[in-house]
Amino acid sequence: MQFVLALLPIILILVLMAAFRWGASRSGGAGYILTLILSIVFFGANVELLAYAHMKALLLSIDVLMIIWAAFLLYRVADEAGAIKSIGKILPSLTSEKGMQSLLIGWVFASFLQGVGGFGVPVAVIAPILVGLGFAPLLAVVLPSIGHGWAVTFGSLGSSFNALLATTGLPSEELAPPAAIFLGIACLVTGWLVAFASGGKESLKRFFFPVLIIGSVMGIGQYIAATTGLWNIAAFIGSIFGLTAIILIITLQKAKQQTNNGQVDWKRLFIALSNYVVLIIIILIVQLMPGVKPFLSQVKLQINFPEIQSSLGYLTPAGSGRTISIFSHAGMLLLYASIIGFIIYRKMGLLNKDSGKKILRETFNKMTGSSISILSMVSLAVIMEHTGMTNTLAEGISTGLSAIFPFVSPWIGAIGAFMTGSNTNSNVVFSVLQMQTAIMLQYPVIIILAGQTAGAAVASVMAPTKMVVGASTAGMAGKEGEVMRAMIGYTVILILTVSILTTIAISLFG
Amino acid sequence: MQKLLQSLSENKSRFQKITFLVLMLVPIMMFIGAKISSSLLIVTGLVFAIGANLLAIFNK
Repeated sequence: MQFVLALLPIILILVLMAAFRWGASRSGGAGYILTLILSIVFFGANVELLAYAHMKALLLSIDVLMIIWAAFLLYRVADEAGAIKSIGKILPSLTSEKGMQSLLIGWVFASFLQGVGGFGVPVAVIAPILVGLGFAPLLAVVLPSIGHGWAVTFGSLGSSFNALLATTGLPSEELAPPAAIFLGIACLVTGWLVAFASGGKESLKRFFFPVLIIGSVMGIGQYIAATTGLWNIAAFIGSIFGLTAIILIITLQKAKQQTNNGQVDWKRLFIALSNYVVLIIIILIVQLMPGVKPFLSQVKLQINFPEIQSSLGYLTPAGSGRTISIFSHAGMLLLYASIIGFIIYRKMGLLNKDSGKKILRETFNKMTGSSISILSMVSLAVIMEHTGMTNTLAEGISTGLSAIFPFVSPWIGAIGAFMTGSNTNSNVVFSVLQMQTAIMLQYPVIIILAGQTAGAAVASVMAPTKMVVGASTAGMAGKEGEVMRAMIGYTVILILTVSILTTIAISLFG
Repeated sequence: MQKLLQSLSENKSRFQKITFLVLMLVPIMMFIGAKISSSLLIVTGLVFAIGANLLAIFNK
């Protein structure tokens, strides 16, 4: 009975989003109110517990929101300066071959856009480009949709991975390696799926080795960045490696065939990317230059919480909530890059004096809705954790699914992402549940959490909320069902890949 | 009710901003309530939080 009650808020959110097509903020609000009622009536939540839980939730939310807001701001600065359009115009001129265009734009460039932007940007930007190049509208949505899923966790400048860190309290040094390995392999499989989607078996056969090289380079690039503390630009670094690799392959092919389809304006490309070059320099300085990080980390937002007990006796030990180092936080680094990038674009005449206001206004308008959903869902998750609801769910799952839990775990993350429309939300709602279940079943927590976030990442691309954005930009509005049917097979293969990897990793290291 | 829903949809952006601000400020209010052992402050905070979430639910 307790298990069913604890499950109700999650079911409510999933049903409202999937069946009733409610947005994340509306569903999050409904889920929050139900959780509050259930926690007071059935799980012994008292006023003191609720007060501390809300404050902890606020700290967690600020941690996540700082990155989301600043990442979008950085993207908006580049977009307002026409940088994203420039890159989108330059890349297709590299090759006229459809199969290679699919890989270059639908896979590698989509991953790059996920690395720097996210929030539905890859499909929204790429689908019209592919339609312009003569691709069928359905394919123009499907290719970038499946193409960028592997880059979601470490993309959007690390917002989803940061949510995983914030909600579990585990360090990035432990969580990043398995997650980067799973997603690296998923990247490779994604490349083959994009090749297959663009031209069937013939295309898959033809591009098998190029994909092997490019996918390995991207996966390894992401792994190196994620495991050396650069997790918030790991997908970006991986995709830059991938862009370099694919451009080299195209150049070599051209030299072999002695053809030339057009010149690349490298200077224009570099100017377009300057916003992100600044970001890399800032992150490298903070991470690698001795003394910089400790200096910036002097101002901390940290609150110590007492031991909290529900009326039913569920105990949460005393401890500090999420500690936020204000000036060295990943969100602040993004803010520094946004400001410097803005000045550079302004000096180059790409932005005018009104651009700043426009960028800030649009960032605020765009981010308010998603911030409400994060505040509600984080509050829901923290209340569930402090009243023992999450623990009840974990006990139920560990009893019922103990033997197959490693296989099922990525599907839980995937369902969360599909229904809530985001890897971040899925991590917020399910990470602690997955962690507690793994502890009860004595499975390695970091592998289960890697399965959670990787499963959520590859499934998030098929969320109805993202589907609507993608379909509308390619002139497929109202045909979201068609897009979903075309994508379901590819997405299932990717989730299955993560499931198998999690199971193998558990059997090797469990 | 009908008028309220109409007003919500007409002022979607404004109500979203209000919801956001309330959800950011209410936990601080409740935390202070817990520190000074004031159940009244916490309960008021909860009422505000529920109100803000209701606003989010009806704000299509």
